[in-house]
Amino acid sequence: MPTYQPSDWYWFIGADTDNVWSSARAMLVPIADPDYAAWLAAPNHTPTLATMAELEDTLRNSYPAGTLKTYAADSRYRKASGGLTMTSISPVPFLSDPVSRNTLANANEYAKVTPHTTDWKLSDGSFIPLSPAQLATSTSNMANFVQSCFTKESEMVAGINGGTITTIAQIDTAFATISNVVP
Amino acid sequence: MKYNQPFGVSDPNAGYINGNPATGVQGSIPPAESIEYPQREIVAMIAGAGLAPDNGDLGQLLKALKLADVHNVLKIGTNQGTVNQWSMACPALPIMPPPLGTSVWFKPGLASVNGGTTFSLNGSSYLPVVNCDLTPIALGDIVSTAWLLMYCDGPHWQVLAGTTRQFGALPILTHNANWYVNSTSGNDSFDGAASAPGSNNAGPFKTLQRAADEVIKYNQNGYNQIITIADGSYGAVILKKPNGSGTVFWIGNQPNPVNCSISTGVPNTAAIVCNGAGHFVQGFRLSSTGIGNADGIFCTDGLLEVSSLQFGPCTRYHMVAGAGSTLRMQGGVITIEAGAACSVHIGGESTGTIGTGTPPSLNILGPVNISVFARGIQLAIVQAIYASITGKANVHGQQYAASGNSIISASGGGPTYFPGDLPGVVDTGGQYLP
Repeated sequence: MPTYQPSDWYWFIGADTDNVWSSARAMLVPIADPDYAAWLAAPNHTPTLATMAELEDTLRNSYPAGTLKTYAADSRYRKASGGLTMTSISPVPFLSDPVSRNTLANANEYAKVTPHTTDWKLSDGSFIPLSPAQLATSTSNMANFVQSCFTKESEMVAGINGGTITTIAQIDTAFATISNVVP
Repeated sequence: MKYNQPFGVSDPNAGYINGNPATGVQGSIPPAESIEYPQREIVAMIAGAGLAPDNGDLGQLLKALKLADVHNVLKIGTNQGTVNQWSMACPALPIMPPPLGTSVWFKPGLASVNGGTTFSLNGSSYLPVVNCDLTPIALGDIVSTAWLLMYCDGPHWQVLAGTTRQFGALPILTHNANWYVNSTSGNDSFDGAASAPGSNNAGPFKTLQRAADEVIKYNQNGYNQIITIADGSYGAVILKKPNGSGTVFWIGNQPNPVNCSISTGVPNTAAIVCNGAGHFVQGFRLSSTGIGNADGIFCTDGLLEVSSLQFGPCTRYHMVAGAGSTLRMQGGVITIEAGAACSVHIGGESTGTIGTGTPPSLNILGPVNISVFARGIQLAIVQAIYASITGKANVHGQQYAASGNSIISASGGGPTYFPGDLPGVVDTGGQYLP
């Protein structure tokens, strides 16, 4: 029996026996689909999951591109963690991964209590001095940027639920509208 | 013939002398026997070797000797008996029964079997056929095409040449071997090669352990050994590592494994322990209710394949793969009886792996307490996928537990794939892959 490959697998969802979900294409396909037929003949066994939510839990970490919602969440994470350039402060992007964001926020809070210049490390490894005002601006920019990513994800989830978002490409286009360069 | 002295001379050992008329010495008179008898002896040798005496060929005595010594015409024959009672005919022997030192070339024409084989030459009493170390020839020793050099050492016929067995080595299988076990009609003193008792010690073994001890006596040589077990109740068995390449199949009752039951109440004892790669167990009900490490089936080494198993109560695991071993499910139906409580249904310990080749169906017949359905500890891997699951809601217990960097994989079956009304748990690096 071939090894389980989450990137190219099929599932029945709930009581629907006429279609299967394809993780490779992130969509429902009819059971007569030739690629599915070839996969079955490998031979493979098609598992049944009770709900789409179970499939999303299944693929969330192993292959987020396998469903639209997990792809939207993964896109949000990658966008938000992909760095932010604040041109008024530096042409070099700030790191925006969760640890860096948290560190920036904490540095801003500390500077409010104990005003001082903070040596901040940028994505290329260089350091710049940030005044308390610049720290505040950086923190605000970062929060707005991350929030825009989550807002976009929520729009995608609404669109998926409403049937207007049906492809990976639509999600990619939507997140591409979020700029990672701010003044 | 004896020596015939000159005619009229009393000394039986007197030599012949030439006559000399010049000296008046009379030559010896050759008696008729001295001329006739040597001819008779020589002609008997010529004819005995199968030649027609011919005055035109004065080299026939030499030819006869070559026919006897090189072509073996006086000591060669094929089997006129059965698979375990060999017999051969050759030109009449001067001493009967054949004494120590008698040797003949013999072709049984049949592969050797267990249970003892005897040999008779020219109607002599049947004597046991043995190897050079005096062990009886056994399954795999003689192939049907072999010519054997048989040597009579007095009480036995030794096979000096033509056997496949090397001294000190195991008999080599030249075809699949079939064995039988029957807890009712069997006897562990039978040869195990027949499904019912018969003559010459033929009949099924009584215990599974006797069969397990038999199959390791052979170099499988790429062939399989198939053990067919009759419906009935059997005690625990330890499967040992077979010799050579090939698989030992243990076949109970695949459609109704409940009819072929292996059970024990001995503490720390599994119904089946597999201590070596190369076994395939199918069609049994397993139960082990002793205190301690009492499992349905415990694989300790190598690859064990299973199919169509039904589980009754077990104190510890229904199925467990111990350190470094692999237990693989191969199709059929895995049945869990109502009330077949256990600590863990499938588990891996210390790099042990439980996996699925061909997905079996899982059928849970009724309410059952299983503390953890799938468990992996200490770098174990538990990967199970079922063709179908029936009675999933009957299980009370935790779905899974992965610890010590173990992995439990549902192979795409989802976050709540395994039966159990309590959620799974991971800790100390364990992972659950839905």
